[in-house]
Amino acid sequence: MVIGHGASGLMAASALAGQNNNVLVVGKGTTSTSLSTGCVSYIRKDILKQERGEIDLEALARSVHPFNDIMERGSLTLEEVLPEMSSFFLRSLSDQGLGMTDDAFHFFDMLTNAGTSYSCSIAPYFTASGRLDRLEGGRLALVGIEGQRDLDPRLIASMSHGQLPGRRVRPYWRKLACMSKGGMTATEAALRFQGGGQEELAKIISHLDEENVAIPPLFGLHSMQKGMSMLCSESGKNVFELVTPMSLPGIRFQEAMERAAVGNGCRLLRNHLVTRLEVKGGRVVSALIETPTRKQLVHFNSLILATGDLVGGGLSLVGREVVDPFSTFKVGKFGELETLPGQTGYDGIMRQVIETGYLVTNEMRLMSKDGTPFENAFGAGAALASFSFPTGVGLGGELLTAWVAAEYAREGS
Amino acid sequence: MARVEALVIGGGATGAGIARDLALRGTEVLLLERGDFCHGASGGNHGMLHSGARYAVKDPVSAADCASESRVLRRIASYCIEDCGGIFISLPEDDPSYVERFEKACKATGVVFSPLTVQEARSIEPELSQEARSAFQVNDGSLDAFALVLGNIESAREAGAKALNYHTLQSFKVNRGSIDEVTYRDSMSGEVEKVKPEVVINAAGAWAGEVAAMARLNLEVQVDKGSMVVFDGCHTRGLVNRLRSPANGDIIVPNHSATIIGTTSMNMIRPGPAQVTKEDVGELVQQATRMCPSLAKGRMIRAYAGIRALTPSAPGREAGRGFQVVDHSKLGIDNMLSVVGGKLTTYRLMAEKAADSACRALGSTRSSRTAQTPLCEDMAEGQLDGALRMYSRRIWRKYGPGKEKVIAACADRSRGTEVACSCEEVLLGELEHFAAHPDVRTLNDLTRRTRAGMGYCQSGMCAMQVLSPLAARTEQDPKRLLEDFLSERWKGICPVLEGTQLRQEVLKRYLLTGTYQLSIREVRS
Repeated sequence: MVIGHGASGLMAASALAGQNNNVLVVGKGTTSTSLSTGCVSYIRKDILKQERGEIDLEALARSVHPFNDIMERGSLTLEEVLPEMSSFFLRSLSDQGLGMTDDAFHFFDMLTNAGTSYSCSIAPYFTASGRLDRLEGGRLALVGIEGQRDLDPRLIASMSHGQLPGRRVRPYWRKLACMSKGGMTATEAALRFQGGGQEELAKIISHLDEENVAIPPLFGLHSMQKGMSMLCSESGKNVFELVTPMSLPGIRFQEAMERAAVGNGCRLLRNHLVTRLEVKGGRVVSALIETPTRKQLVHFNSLILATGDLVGGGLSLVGREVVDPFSTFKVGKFGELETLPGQTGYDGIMRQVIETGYLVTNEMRLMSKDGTPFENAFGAGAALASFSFPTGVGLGGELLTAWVAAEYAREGS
Repeated sequence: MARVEALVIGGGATGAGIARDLALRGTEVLLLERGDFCHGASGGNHGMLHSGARYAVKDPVSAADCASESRVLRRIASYCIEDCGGIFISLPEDDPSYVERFEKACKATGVVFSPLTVQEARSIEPELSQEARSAFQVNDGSLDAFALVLGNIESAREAGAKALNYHTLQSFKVNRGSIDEVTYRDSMSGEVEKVKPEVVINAAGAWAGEVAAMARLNLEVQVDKGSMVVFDGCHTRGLVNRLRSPANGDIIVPNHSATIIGTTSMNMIRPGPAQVTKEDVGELVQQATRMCPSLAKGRMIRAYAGIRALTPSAPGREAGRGFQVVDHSKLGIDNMLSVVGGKLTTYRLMAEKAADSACRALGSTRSSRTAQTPLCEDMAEGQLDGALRMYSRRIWRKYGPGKEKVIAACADRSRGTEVACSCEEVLLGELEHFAAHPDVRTLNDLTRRTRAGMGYCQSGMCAMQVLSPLAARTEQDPKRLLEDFLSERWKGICPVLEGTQLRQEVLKRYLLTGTYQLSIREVRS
């Protein structure tokens, strides 16, 4: 049983189901994954040795601290696990229509949406550097669509001044007949766009002077690959979409992960809440799952807890203290973390909270409150201590822990 | 060199009120404010429209002023007043003899009140404590101080006054016992200008002593810090007051989409940045939950402090809430006045008295019209189209006399009626309008006027949307603008951060400092 249907829960579930285990995934609501930018790189860009397209494994290991510590003491090594996980992941997701960028430096740094190879250049609007330099031709048009707020061309243009040397960036606001009604959710907007906006947009784009054209995310998972290549071929330009959080990229990624998990043979129950876990003799043996019309006790051999962090709703807060909502597992901070100067400041307070999560052994086993490891319960993803910090580096670390937890869970069962 | 009849120092309620009062009398006015309008106590209070009941026992003069002025304000500034009424309750630990004194004093000062049974009180305010002993109903109200002050500025400008924010007073040139020339500076551009005023009115509130000192005058002003905590949602229908001698955490005020609890009182040696401490928050919450226990489960979203100037009779709570118009001619400067003390509720009366003195100095015989002239006509929906009709009442409530311009800005722009901040339902057109306004220089100025980012997400979700119109209008680095704004907000968020609001802040952190790579600094202003 896997609790949580975000990136890490579905990754662990897919991995186990792909090895012929009977896997049930239970998820309660909106996942952080679907609110994210849908980027999978789990290392910071500064660690990439860009010129050779290689990964500095040592730096990588440091960056996924404290996971590195776990890996060092456990029986699996990062060098073994990474390629296995990555190829499994690529295989599973590309079957679901989720494009991997061909611009990825390596499989360690996967961006999961076809058009988003430049995501890290502008999408986090303020880090305009690096990848935009790879654009062919000098000029870049930023095209915002009225009523769709994921790309504010004027703002990004004013933000990127001085950060895009030698490149002319020009903002445009454009209207699409099918999307003139404002206030739509990203999914509604995507549906309307697919119902007649593509040709209109291709025409708008072909009239622009610039060779490179950035657009907001407009396509749902299933029309994305075809749609983006249509826009490029019809307009004769290099068209790409910018990534933004809380919009289609995250939703697409979530959908692809769900489809991959089900495709690998998992059973997925959405909108189900796990209200209680039962512990017997050092094992977590059953979970009570509930909906307004259902209450069922589920028994299992192994449990993977991938409930997400504070934002995902996997951990609870009492005042400023982070606690386990199941009152079963040990929560704390991982290892000896250096104390930041100014613990009472913004970074101090936020870090204190964000770094607290479920503690696990070297084999990813969750512990009871007194520190005794459970035989059959494993933790994965952002629910783990120190896995939400630093923020903004993509979901790679979460996926990796899920893969490793699944490996240990398989060995254990 | 430019000449002006009256120079007003200070752009809070008093200064703005004086500028309007004089302008309506046909006097030439220049108002200088060194921060944004509402920079001092006018921007750091709980927005209470006093019926006078709170001061009836201790300060009968202020109570009577509040009683009559609150009636005037309901007439002239209805757009920014929620006429929600108020209740006073006493609890078992409160001095029972106060009840009798309260009734007597209210009668004596003309404060309207009616006794309630506890049951009646609880049927008006269901969240009132079951332990309540005595209860009275009074005519308190909730007042949007930003809207009031900005409405006064707007109205003063319409009547011909000139009002400049972010302009710092630099020096007075005194010649033969009168101020001959005043030097001031645009605090952003650094440009220095001079003006020859016939009369100078010092309405700098907590800073009035410093302004007087620049003319070598000694003006005693007592500076007092008051802290307040903002809860998400309205927890009460009207105001809830503690029926006791004024103390900390006595007042609960529903205001727009929030509930404000206040206040503390702490004497300060000099005006400066007022920071709310965790102790202030603890004290306020403990006291307020005695009156309204459900607040304990409420969601605190922010805390803030203001510094008020009191007349220097006695310290803090003991000081009267009355005001004085000080004529400095006996002390050596014959064309300067200072206004000290008072309440937000009595700002108009203070302004009228100060303007009367100024007019005497100018030899003008015209009398004040502010008690009769509304700041803004009542709401008329007219022929607004669908979306704007829906929002027009909110726009009227926020902008009063400035509403036509805002509505035009929303209607003229193609995306004008798009909602930019969903917590407070602020339209993009509102933001575009104010972003283009010369008064608006920082993101804080923009949010102060529009209320964007003031809701429970504390701008976590709308920060980029709010930034966009300003970024397009300014030479300043947009990233820096946003970081300054977030850092400033953090000051108010930090002391109350817990539970769900902390979760919200984590999400904000992921978005803003994670995805967008912003850094939030510690601000020590």
